[in-house]
Amino acid sequence: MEQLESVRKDFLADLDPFPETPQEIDELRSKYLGRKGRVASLFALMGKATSEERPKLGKELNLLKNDLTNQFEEKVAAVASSHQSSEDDAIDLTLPGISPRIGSIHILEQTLSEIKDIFKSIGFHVAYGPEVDDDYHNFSALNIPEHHPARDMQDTFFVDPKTVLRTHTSNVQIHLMENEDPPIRYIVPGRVYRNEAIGYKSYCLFHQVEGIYINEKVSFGELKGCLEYFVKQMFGPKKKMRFRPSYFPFTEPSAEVDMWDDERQQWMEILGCGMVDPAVLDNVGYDSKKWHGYAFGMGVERIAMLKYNINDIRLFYNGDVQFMEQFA
Amino acid sequence: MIVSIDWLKEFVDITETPDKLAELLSNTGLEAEVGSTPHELPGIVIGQVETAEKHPNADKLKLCTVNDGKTVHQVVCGAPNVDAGQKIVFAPVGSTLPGNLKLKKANIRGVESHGMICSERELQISDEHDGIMVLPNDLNPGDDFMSAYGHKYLSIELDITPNRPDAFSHQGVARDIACATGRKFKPLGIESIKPKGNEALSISMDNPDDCPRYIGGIVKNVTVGPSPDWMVEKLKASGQRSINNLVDISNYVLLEMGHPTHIFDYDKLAQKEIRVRRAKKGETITTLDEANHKLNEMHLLITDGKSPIALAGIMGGLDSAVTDDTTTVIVESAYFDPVTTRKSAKSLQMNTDASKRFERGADPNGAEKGFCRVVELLEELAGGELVSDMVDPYPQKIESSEINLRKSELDLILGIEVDSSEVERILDSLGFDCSNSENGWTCMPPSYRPDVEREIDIIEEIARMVGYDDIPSDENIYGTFRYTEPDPESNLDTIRSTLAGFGFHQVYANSLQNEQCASLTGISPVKMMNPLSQEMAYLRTSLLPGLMKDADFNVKHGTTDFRLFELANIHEQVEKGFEGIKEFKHLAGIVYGNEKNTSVHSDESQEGLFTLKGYLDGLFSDKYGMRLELKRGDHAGFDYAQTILINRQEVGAMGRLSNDWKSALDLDLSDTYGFEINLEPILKMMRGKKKFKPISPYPKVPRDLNLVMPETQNVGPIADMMLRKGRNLIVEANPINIFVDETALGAGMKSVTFSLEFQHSSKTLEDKDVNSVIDDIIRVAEADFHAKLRS
Repeated sequence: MEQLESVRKDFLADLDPFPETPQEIDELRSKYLGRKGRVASLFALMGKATSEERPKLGKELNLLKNDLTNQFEEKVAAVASSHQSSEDDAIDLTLPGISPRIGSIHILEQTLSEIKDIFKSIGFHVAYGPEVDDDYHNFSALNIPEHHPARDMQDTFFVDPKTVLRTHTSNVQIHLMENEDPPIRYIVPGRVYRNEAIGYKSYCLFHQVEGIYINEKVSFGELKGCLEYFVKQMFGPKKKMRFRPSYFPFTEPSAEVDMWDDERQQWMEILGCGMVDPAVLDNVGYDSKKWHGYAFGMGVERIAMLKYNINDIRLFYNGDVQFMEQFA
Repeated sequence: MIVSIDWLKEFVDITETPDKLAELLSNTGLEAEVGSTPHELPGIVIGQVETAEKHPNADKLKLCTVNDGKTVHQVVCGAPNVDAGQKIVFAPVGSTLPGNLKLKKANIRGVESHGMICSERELQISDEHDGIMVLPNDLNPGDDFMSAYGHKYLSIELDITPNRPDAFSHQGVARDIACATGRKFKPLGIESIKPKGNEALSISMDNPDDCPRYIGGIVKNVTVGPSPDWMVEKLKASGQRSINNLVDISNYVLLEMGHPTHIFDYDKLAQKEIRVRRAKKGETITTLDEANHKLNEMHLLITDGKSPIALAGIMGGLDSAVTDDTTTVIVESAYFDPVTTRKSAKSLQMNTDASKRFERGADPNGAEKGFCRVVELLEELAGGELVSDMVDPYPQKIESSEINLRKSELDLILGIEVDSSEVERILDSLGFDCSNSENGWTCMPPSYRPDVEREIDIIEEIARMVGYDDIPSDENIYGTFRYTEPDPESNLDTIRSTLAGFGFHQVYANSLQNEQCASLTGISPVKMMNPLSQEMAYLRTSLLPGLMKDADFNVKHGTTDFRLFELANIHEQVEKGFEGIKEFKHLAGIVYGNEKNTSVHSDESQEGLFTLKGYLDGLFSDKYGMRLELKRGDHAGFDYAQTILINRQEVGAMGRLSNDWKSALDLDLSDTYGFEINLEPILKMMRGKKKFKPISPYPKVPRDLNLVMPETQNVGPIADMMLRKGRNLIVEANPINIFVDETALGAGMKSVTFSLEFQHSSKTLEDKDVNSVIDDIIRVAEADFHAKLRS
């Protein structure tokens, strides 16, 4: 009887703490309940017991065996269920992750990158030039003489009577042509300034992408093809557009390009373009009898506003993180 | 300008709806918007006011009965001018007014009102709303208003480009419509008028370059009074108010055929002559708009031989203006030089219907037609009689020059083969005189097209009339390869994307600032001569103030933790004049608030000098493999100012933005850390190509080294020394722990743990290799930095 109690005591001691791995559990099971385990070995006492003691001992042995087995299995079940909860539920993945902070490239920069990529894909290079320029490069060389009504088309900031904040990036086409021989094919992005009151539709500055292509034979049909490619890449292949005659001093014939806006149900102006005026070519020393070309200009803000349905131009410049996060 | 569709119909047949007509005009180069007048006003009819009595319960209201041809309605009307017997515009119950206003039965001060008598503004015909619109008496009650009368006010607003002075009139617009549609153009037939007297009028010009042609004549016995309805209606449809018959005639002829004319009161002229001359300095004139102008030699004047009576080509003088008592007038129809007119108008900040046309180039032949038309109308509508000759000094006739149009050039520019007969039809229809030449045509442009001087100008005329839509797109790319860098600034993309990856938002800020803001850096800013306001009178010299303002904006709008950067140009007025203006590409950033917020995973940590240095290190050292160093320096705008050196070149500064700047900009910001860098030298460094270095297959041996040194000793130079002394074996030397304990280390001392990593490119390192390097390092640390190995 003492031996029985000693096995029970050992067993209970081994039960706490109960092993966790299946291997350890199996070891514990065979140690007490296995065929060669300690409980099984107790049954050997039967042989040594007297015939009077034997039934009682047998009963005690069976009680012990059942008791230990039950306790053991209870523990096993408890372990199994606790395992499940510790493995699957103890980690609360409904908590937020440890996320890095997300920054953003400005939506005008993203739009400009897209514009650059489209034109680069059809052979344009990119050039840059000064924001402050002389009257000659911003106006006169572009066939906008000093006392011409065309000067009213752009409200200009003057630094002095002969120096301006450029009103378009077209000044760069003059610099380019002064320094390079034809043929040339460039787009020129950059910041430009207009002396206009600030409102939801206009700001004192904006960003323009100008394009110019000069070669021996260049046609209005090519200009149309180039800009149709651009609009369809930028806004989708089904976008409807139209070319409408207009006037710019540095191109002739000139056109304005409108795009159909499904939401507003109206034509929206997106860019101006035309065949490079021979006077401009002559001004930079290109022989206008030999060389022809087209040019176009668009506002990055306008393209972005149309593309993303932004209704206030000032949103681009006030640095509001809530605005920028939308275009992260 | 606003054109009346009915008026256009006098010169060309129009079958299009107003919308279609607007589209047609846009497609020929006259950008059009349909006026706000609706094309249809269903249910709105002509009515007759049968009775108009005072409202029983209101002094200012009238109780009327209106006959709409079928029934008589009781209507309450508030207009002071409503009267029995008037034909009016009646909107019955159930009809809809512009602006989607549905009329319902109303009870006004206890009296039922069934419908409304409309004003011009309610019909969106004009802004007139002082009273109801009273219609001519010959209209029939019950007829649809729009088709019986309202169509007179259908109009289109055109945005006329500076190259098209000819399109500033109904006749000119009609000519384009005729050409575009192939319909017949029916110009005004103008006959010269025989004088009924022989009074003399002397006209002279001091300088025929300023005023090449001046036509004048004396018309007597005019009676000033109201204009006939047809004229009032057409003027109103074109956005002009009727004044009196004399003023209206001049305005009418301007809108009809485009030539500006002027009518002087003959009796108010001190001397009965016209002399065109430049103003003398200090001379003054009061114009019709009652403005006083101080003049100088830039301004061209019409004088009566003595004093100014008009600003030539801009506006008449008040003293010589017609009044109700005028009986004898001088009619002026001149041609003024575009540049002279423009300079004069610009300097007086005037932009009138006349100056707009002269600046763009009026028609020298139109002067004669304009004169005859005005005199004809004065005789017809004011009872006047021409009593002098049409005096017409025109010493140097303005002639157009012939232009040669090559068929080959036309086809090349348009990219299609244009049918020759179509070319001839278009040019003929636009008034060009063409004959065939060897390779195309010889064309004489009409006098009203001063903008057409070159072959390309004619090509444009043909292109716009062929229709841009009918020129097919060429879907090929032609041209020549170029082997230069396609985008010299593509390097900037990496800077932007790296910083965005570090959690920075890129901003674009205004380049124009006030003087105080632009001068914070101490650099002389570029100043605008004509700023929008003093708040935006200078180009910025630093990107930081803009970033700080953005920070302030965000904090005020509830965003309290952020990193911002801007990459843009700044300008400096290094020396006087254009050549002294320099443009630099700058990169600047600021960090604000928490670098990391409190979460269930960790505590918050704040942005500071070290997070900022880390971002710069990440960008320049890790991304570009450049050497970034900071050196204590003095820089405007920063506390803890550090000079930033990249590859040993000073490029900018970083630190905590100073309270001086914050208060100068009136910003309520807590600690803000920032940097600003001139990118120009860095862009040059970026041109170096990255080169692959073989990766050593041999294991890295880590070693920690604990050095005790004075607390004042900077750690950086020791780490640098370790790398230098590492004989190419040390690949990393990072301080990982700093420990201060007075009892263990002694007062004023600190212990710094350096984590070193050794690696050889061609063998496995042994202890002895590493140890000899470490011994060397310890020796130098002791000798040069008072740092001892911690025992």
